[in-house]
Amino acid sequence: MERREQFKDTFLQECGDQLGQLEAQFAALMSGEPVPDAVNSAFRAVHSIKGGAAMLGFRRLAAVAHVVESALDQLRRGALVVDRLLVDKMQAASDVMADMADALRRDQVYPANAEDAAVRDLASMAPVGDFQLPCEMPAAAAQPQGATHYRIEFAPSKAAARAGLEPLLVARNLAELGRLSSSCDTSQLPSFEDLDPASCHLSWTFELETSQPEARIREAMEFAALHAEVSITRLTAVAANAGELAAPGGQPSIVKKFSAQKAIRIDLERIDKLFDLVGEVTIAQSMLVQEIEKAGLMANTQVHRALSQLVQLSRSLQEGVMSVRALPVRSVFARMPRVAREVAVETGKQVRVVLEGEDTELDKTVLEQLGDPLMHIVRNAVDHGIETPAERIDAGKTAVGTVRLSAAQRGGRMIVTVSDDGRGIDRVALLARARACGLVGEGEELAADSIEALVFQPGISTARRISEISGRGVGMDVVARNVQSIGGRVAVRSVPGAGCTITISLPLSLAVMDAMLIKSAGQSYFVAMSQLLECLMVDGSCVQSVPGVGEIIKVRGEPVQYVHLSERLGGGFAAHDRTPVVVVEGDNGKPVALAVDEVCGYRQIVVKPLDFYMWGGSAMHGISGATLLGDGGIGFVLEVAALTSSPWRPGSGQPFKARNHHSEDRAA
Amino acid sequence: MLVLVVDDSPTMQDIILATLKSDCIDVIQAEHGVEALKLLEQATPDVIITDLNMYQMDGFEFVSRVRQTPENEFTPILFLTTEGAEDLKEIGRDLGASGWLQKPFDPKTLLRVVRSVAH
Repeated sequence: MERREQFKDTFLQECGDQLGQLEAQFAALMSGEPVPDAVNSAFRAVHSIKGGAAMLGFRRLAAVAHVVESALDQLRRGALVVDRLLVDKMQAASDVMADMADALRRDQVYPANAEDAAVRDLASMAPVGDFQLPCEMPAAAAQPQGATHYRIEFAPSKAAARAGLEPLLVARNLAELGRLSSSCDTSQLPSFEDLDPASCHLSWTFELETSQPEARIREAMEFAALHAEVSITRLTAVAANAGELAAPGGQPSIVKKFSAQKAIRIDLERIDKLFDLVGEVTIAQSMLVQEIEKAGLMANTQVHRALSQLVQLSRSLQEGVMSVRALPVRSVFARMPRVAREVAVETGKQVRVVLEGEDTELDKTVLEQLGDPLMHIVRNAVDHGIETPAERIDAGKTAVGTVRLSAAQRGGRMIVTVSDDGRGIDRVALLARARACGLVGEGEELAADSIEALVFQPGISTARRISEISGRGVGMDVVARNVQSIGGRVAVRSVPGAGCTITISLPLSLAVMDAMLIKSAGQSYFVAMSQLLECLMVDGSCVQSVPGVGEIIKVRGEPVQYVHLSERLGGGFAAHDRTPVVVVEGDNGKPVALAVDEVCGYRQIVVKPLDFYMWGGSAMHGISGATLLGDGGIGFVLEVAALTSSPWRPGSGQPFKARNHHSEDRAA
Repeated sequence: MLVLVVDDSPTMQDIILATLKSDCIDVIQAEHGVEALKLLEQATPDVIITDLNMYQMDGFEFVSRVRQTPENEFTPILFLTTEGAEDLKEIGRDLGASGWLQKPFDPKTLLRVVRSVAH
């Protein structure tokens, strides 16, 4: 059933195309074009319709397609010749298919037996072999579609038994039409002394769920009605999905109980629309707040109270809509044990997979984007991280390696970690490789965590051989890129000999964000609150220049990289005596201090992807999106990790430059 | 595992893709034999699944061409088609196909067969 819904749209789209094709070929046949070409094309078109319809359990449509297909097959093989009448009949049958498809599209039931005439006419000219569906879609076939619920009162007359009326047969006849339940009324039964065994004292009430027309019920009750009072009441349509009248008469079918249904299906588009509207409300609200502040009305307690209530309500509204889109990560996690096993088998390793926090919920869009990177990380962990059983025992570990996946919500973000207890990252080999690639200059030394972060650089792979499993042209750089494209960050931490942990941090939703408004070189920017560590005022004299590293400041004794935002974004900067600084969580979780012109305060913003309405489809380095400001201006959302990525050297790149569109990695 | 699926029906492609993906099998897709042969120049799938009736190069011709390329001489090939006539199956066998599955197919059967023919 689920499958059917999932593929119905694709099928109907294809069906429409194929019917158009069919019509064109019929026209070609009539106009005397070379027969084989037109017949072959028409055959393939109707063949596809039949295949799809049969696959999805649209049996009536498949049956009509089969009749047309077999006529075309006979034309193809020369058993029939093209004539106007035959083409007309095929055309009529294809019109029937179009109507059926239309009914499916509208979730209506195509009238019972309405296809019979067209099918019979065509079959009389082009005999049809038996059409059987070789194997039925288990789910689709058992469901009576468009079933209706009837109540049938059946009260035989006293003389009924003498007339040969057998109530059991009546019940059996009805049971053949669908799902039957019955109750017997014994209230008219006399006491045993008074009982006349040859007359009938009982009456029955049948409840029938059937997809058959009411006429079939009357037919089944026809004989009984001569000797009994019969009333047939149509109660309700039981249809959850009025797809098609599909249940074959004859077998009682199983019907799901729909009365207890508490969930409804909603088109994702409608939710997205709602989501957009909530976003617009947020913007309108922040404009309102700004205007009220400007007008000096905030001092008024009544206004202030009403306004905070509005802000609170719209936040609840947002969370409510967001939760509709949220799905547990289970669906993505569940695939991973198999992925790990597959790689383990191919590489001769032993591994067990532990899943934690599968019930944590995440926005559907984010979740969909998480699957591929996660699969790759797991493959990598087993392929490169976990050692062979022999190596593990030598190293004093258990023969079976462990890969642990966990998901948890922390501070407005979703943290997904994949950790293994394998050999960890070979820093020496990684650094050597990075030097060979020119990512790290000769003589340049890096801290341990900076070395590990190199795994996310393109072109790095320390695997001795390009393996079948993780070496299919997709490296960790693609993982990092995919995660970044949905506003996430990846970090790696490894302990040599003890294992490696990859942490993915994701926004819970893509659209609404809590952010700090900052200004730099006259432009407004936002930093996500989840990435903001603190705001400071820094005295110009505190900035130290360290050769090979750049400028640093000390924040509570800890050295922190110090960066002028405007410089990073391609502009110049003016040194102030006291500079406002926001300390953010940069690449690989390290704090970075960004010098700005002004820190304006907290805002709630609706992030719009930049690609779609500016810059002709290319993304900008360091900018992940944009938002409308309360005053109608535009503010850019900083992609802090990209802006502060560690092997960045002034002059080596132009950060504020259009980045090339990533090419597809898959062969397809 | 990588599977090449050759079918000109988007519905079928979608269903086969979903079936294989549900079991973590990677898929590349081609609409017909010509496109599939082009893909085979770049990729070496573990299994090939092909339809029979397609608008450019049918399944039979495709299979016989695949068998002529040295890289794919032994790649398992499955026919997945609505056709079920014995004489057609015979042709398929002679051309070197590894199996014949009939549409509509049971997803579980497809996965089982794909896994069983993959080396």
